[in-house]
Amino acid sequence: MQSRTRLSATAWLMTRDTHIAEDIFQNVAIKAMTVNSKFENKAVLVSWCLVTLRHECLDWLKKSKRELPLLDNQTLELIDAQWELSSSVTTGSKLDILRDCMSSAGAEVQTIMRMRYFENLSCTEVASRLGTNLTTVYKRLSRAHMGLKACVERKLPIGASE
Amino acid sequence: MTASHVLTDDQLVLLLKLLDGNCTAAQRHSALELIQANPHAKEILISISEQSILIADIHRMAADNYSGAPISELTSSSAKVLPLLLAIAAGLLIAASIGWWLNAFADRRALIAQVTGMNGAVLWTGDSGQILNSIRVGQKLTGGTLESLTPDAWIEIAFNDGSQVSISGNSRVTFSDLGHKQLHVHNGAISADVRKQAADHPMLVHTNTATFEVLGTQLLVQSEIASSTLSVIEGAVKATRISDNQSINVPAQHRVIAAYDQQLIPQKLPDAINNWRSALNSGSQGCYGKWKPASSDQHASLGTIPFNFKLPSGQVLNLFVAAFEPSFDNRPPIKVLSDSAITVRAQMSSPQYLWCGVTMQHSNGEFAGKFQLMHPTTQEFKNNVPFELKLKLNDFQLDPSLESLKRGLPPTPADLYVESIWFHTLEQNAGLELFEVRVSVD
Repeated sequence: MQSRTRLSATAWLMTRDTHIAEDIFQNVAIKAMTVNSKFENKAVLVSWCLVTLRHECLDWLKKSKRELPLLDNQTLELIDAQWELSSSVTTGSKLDILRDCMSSAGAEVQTIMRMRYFENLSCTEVASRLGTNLTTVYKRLSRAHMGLKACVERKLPIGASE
Repeated sequence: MTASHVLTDDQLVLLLKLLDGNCTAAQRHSALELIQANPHAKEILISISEQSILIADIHRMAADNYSGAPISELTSSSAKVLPLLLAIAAGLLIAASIGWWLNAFADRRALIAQVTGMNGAVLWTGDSGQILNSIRVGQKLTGGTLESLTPDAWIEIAFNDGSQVSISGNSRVTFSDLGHKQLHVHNGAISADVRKQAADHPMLVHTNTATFEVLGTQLLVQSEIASSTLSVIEGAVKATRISDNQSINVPAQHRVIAAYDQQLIPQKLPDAINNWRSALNSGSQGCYGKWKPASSDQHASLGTIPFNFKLPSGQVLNLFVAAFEPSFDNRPPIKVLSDSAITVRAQMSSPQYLWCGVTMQHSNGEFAGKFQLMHPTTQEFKNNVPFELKLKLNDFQLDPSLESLKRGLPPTPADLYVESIWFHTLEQNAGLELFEVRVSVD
């Protein structure tokens, strides 16, 4: 997986808001382009971006009076290490594949994913909006994620899947 | 991957609960252990987080009628830094083109404040005239006009020096910071917690009838067409009435009403009361809705009015709302106790679920949450037959849309002060008419 999605996704794991994650990614990108440091290679730059991004996320959580991140530093480091092992599929390709998978996923999956990740509703709010209970929402969301994951992996170029 | 690494359904749900911020300390501990021990759990977490970002991308593009051009990527094929930076720049340009332009655009202007909390229908008009209904917590703002559109709407911003201003109810405020901060309260109510300002650059709060000079204090301002009320919680504020340029200093725990037909004299803030009763027979002041005077066969009533709000997703939400602001016109604040209740006499033309809610504030005017209760359709609701409901405020739950802020908000309305009481039905007009609303202590 590539840097833009990786950075934004890391920000999402900390803020759990896709729009805020995108904003923070943009702020970090601007800083990366204007910082007075020379990065020896891409790995150093990505590493710098990740550290800066985590600080930006923590700042945002404090400023917006949100609760502290649910994942501790150690867990984030482990996830990051796993990310390093992931595929080199571009965001553009993966986005196209995911769009295909979403369009064939059915209205229920599309609705719940939109509410949760575009409208950034909590699962409680999704349950309230759909007139169902929280457990059902978690189960539907779980099925939707696993279905999309399997679909994306089927459609990825050979050798690119995790 | 071994079979033992494959997650069970329960483990998947546990991860989703963790990401939803909805698990107990023990569940969080289990989830973190699972993530640390199981490579598949890490893989799933990565997959979910990537999907969340990409799904948001897809919907932003759809919302902006994006043409479908491919998203740029930060490639890993080169070990050189420049391509990565160029790719980041390309990513930024694409992000701007898909409509998530605001921060990048605003960074080139004077960003003077940031949204630190919000809920409900809020509009922001920036200094280029762009109207946005999709502002969000964390967003940085240039000067502009904020409007909270419904009785239950609320937004809080923080200026760069940490001074906080919150706007609630049906209110409209223009703010700027060109050397010194200025707020123009066109209508409605604000509360502000102002950091110490330079003596020669006080914050200026303008209303239709007065200007208030603030050097660092907590205050509330309510602005109406012909009068405005300043309540000072801490510190002191200089108030100048526009009609005759008369000025006074208003000390802490005092208020002043600036109107051409009233004396400009500070008065001690009134003590809170615990019981309140609407007075629809006396008129529609302090009400939001369609007021009807009493007739020979019916009491005065307050009907709902439709409010349509477009969500960022494009979905239109239709609410039919009626509301009361019990402390309008300088009435004493209502303090809710643990055994307080709201009693409503009303009728509906087509029985539907009824939401009753209260917007609460702390004694200093700071937003303290919205609490609501949904009353299902029952036999009490018959076509155009008056009913009476008594709703215990302890049964009211924090509005689910405030879930992310709940740790900073009180869990119940007890010991807080009522800002507004509202009733609504959703999607369809149920012809709700309120005859009387009471707050009382059992």
